[in-house]
Amino acid sequence: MTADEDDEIQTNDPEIQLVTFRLKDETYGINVMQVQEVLRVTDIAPVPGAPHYVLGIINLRGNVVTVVDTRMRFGLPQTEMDDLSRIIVIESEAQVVGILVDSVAEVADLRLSEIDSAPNVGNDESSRYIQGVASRDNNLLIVVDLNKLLSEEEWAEMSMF
Amino acid sequence: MQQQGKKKPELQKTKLVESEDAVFDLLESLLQEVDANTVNVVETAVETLAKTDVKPQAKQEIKSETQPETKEQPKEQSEQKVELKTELKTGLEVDVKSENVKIFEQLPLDVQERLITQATEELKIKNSLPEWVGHTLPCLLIDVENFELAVPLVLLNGISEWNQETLSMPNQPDWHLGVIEYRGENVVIVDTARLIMPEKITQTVNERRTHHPSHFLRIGQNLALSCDAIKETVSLSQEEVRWRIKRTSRPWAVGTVIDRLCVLLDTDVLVQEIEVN
Repeated sequence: MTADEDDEIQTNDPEIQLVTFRLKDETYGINVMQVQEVLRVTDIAPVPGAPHYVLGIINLRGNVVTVVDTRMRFGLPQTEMDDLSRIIVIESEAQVVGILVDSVAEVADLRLSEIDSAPNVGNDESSRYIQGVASRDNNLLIVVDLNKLLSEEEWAEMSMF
Repeated sequence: MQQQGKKKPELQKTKLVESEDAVFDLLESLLQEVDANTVNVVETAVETLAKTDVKPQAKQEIKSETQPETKEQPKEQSEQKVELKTELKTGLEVDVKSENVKIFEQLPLDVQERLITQATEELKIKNSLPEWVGHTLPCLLIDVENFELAVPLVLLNGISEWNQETLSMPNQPDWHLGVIEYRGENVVIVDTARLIMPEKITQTVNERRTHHPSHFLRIGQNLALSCDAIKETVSLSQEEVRWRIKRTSRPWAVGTVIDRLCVLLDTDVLVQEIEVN
């Protein structure tokens, strides 16, 4: 492959990096550019009157960060937090929030062409944040569009807890 | 990217025009937070200004101030001094302000934008604060259904243990726990948890009325908020609270006490909500 051909592939089919995490038995991936840091689970203070998918708030070096219960948001059964549980601090829609996941796996390199659109089943609002699926090491990886994890109003509310 | 670059100056212009004076006042304080280099520029500029424009007048003033007190100054001279002081002060303020504008305009675009954003945010917060928020805010920390809440002391009319005989009244809302006599007045005790976190309550209305919380805080004229425990008082500064600018949902939560991660309660809003209900 010549250098020009390589450049063309880079332009038409850019490589992206995803931070992968586990929820129940599946692996999910989110754009590494939106990840600020990964934290061990610390004291999460519940917030009275908060929506069910808001687990609470944490104090991150003097800043209050809202933590979303990703299992709850994805409609997965609840489980106890353990040593592997992590809070991924992400930035999306100009808001910094934490998402609680079962564990963080790795940073995966992927070409955009490797992401297939997810099969569309009905008009389930909860699945709108699934950007697609990619096959990796004989396993499926669900690519999540963080910007669509919450609605516009829900994102705006994230800084208000 | 190019489009974004073009838009920047327009954005600044609009924001500056909206609240110019207030933004410049805030910028003055924000300038201290910029890089050390920028701070030096500001200091040098102010020093230069003081040395050149103000020096002769300032010297005159210092001289007159250091004269022995035993010698009484003539009244006219004293009045002149006051006028001179006022002129000097006003002149200095105007000069420093215009100098700050010049310095601000010399800053890189991204720093300008950051300062304007910060200043606008601070302004929004300032404007959204309830009138009872002072420079320091003494608060009482209470416990409601294992949630810690901060209640501004300035909004409270009394704190008491709930050991009085309680009168139950028929056909009342779920949050109505009963009526007691407190300091010669009839006070309705409100189920705080039911009002602000109904989703956390597992007991029935009757169970909560029978096994009621141990304390109450009197708010408004004839209302009191129930609570499970009185913890301590804390004195908060405005910076120790993350203020909620828009309070469309949970309007009674005026902010979050950052250190303790607990809600700062606006009991006035709770009273309003109860009255509306």
